[in-house]
Amino acid sequence: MTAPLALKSYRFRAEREASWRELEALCMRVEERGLASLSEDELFALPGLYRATLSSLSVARAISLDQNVLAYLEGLCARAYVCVYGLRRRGLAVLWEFLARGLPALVWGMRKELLLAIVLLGLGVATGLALTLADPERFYSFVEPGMAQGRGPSASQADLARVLFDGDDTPGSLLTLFASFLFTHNAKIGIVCFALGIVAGAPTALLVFVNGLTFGAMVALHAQKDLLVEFLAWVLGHGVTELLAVCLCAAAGFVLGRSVVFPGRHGRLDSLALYGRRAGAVAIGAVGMFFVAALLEGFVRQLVPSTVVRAALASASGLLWLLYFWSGRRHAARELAPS
Amino acid sequence: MSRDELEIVTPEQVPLRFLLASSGDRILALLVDLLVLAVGLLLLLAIAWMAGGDAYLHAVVLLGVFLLVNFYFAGTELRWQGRTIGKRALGLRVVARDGGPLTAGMVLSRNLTRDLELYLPIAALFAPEEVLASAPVPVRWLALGWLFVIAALPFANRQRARLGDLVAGTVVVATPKAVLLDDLVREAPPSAATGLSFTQAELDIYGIEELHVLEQVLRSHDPAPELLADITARIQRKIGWQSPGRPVPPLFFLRAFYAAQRQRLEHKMLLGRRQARKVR
Repeated sequence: MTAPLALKSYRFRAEREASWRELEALCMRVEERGLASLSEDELFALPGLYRATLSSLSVARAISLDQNVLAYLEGLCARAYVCVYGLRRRGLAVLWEFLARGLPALVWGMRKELLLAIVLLGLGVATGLALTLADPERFYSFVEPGMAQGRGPSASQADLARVLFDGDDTPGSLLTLFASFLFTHNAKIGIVCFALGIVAGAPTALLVFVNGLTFGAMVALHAQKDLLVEFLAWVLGHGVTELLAVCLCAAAGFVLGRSVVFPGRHGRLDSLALYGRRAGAVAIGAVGMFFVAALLEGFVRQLVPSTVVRAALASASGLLWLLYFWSGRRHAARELAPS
Repeated sequence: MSRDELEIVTPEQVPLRFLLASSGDRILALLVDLLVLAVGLLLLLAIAWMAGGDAYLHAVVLLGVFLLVNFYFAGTELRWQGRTIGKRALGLRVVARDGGPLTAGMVLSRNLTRDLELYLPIAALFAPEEVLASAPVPVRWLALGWLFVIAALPFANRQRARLGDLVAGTVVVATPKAVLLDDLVREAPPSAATGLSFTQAELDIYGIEELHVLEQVLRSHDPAPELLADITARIQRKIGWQSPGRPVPPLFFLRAFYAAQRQRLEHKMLLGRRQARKVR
């Protein structure tokens, strides 16, 4: 066979085909049954085979005009690339790393945006409070009927106090239901807050402000009925966590918006991708906080009717979150280094 | 690089060409996922219904619904390296646009926006009056329009990226399985034995594009004899090939020519002269 032997591309293929086939078999198994299905030796061989095949591809592009070989190598390298660089670490280690270091560091990195969100929320609360105090009827324009649950300027002080201090008619069970309902509702607002950030952050700001308005109106309502302290203790026991989570989602949204409007030295899309991952991680952390808030609301608050204990709970949770995010300062430099 | 391809530079600095997932495949994958989701939700509802008055179970079911609706996509993509059940069925997967490894953060980010670009538009389709029910009418129309712009985003950019893909810096690609066929040269008759030989001048006429077309013809399942004869005649005329005086079967000739032509072009490529097309 003189003709084939003289062809460099033919010899090249003959020398390396076996290792391509080996890699292909490994890829097939990883795709069907996951990395765990490989033996230790095979797992060890995978990266080497991948790099060898990748180098085959580079060589083939330079010397071979056999379309089939090129297409095969392109496809095989793409599949092997995904096997080698696909999502690897999972499970508790990732979760722990994220909670212990990642989340606080990321939050610390976007502290300016977080501050902006908190200020906006505060402005909303102040506005809602002032407007409702001036004219109690405005309560209805700030609070939707579903959320008010019968509370309003026309309700008596006794009615309002009843909501604050009992509601334990069907012990435990109804409250868990309510807690998980609240969880689904607020976590949704948070997620939308984040996702809307892409539009330069404007809808996010609006959403936070409107949330503040609602809260302010509720505060005003109870202040007028002399239940201010009781209400604040009642709502802030879980509200500190919850409002902070909303602000975190909003901050993440602002980060998205900023990355689009002011991409800096990166391209607009690259900038969005770079900051989007961080913002998304923070939003996920915020969803976890909603979960904590719902637990606080569903169990702790309903079991503790004392205003003093509730107020203590509110301050303690606020302090704990502050310390937690403050701890991110140490890791922030590493997390936020440009990748 | 064609419109449907995306070049990703791997950490080894080798550019890999990925086939972008087609819109149709992605919609189909989404439908499969929505079907799985719907079955899951129905199961949960059935549990809640059978539970009757047990409120604890209701709470658990509600939690389950929330987790399923919000984390089905992220969860399956985390579990199967960037593939939901629907993507697995259609041979699609998520990869990082910058060529680095796909991280959990990317998967979570790209799925956090689904509310905005999937569930809300679907809700708006079936019950437009429910979206922003308390806002004034012009604002609602604006919001509705905006929702559909976001939902239509994948059809309006080259990478078919939806909002979540842009936020996370990911791309959805197809990973078709190419089959390695036998080298055509291996089946070519040795030129010395057949007496079919080509001079350098004869092999300097055609370029790579023609070689690839010839490869396609030779690799096609069962080429028509007339087609082969026609191609043979054209090639012989173009390169001015002198027949050795005895009849040469077209397939026989074409294989020998392919081998000789490929050898010549690869040789020239190695020396830095890449002849893309034939000489006019």
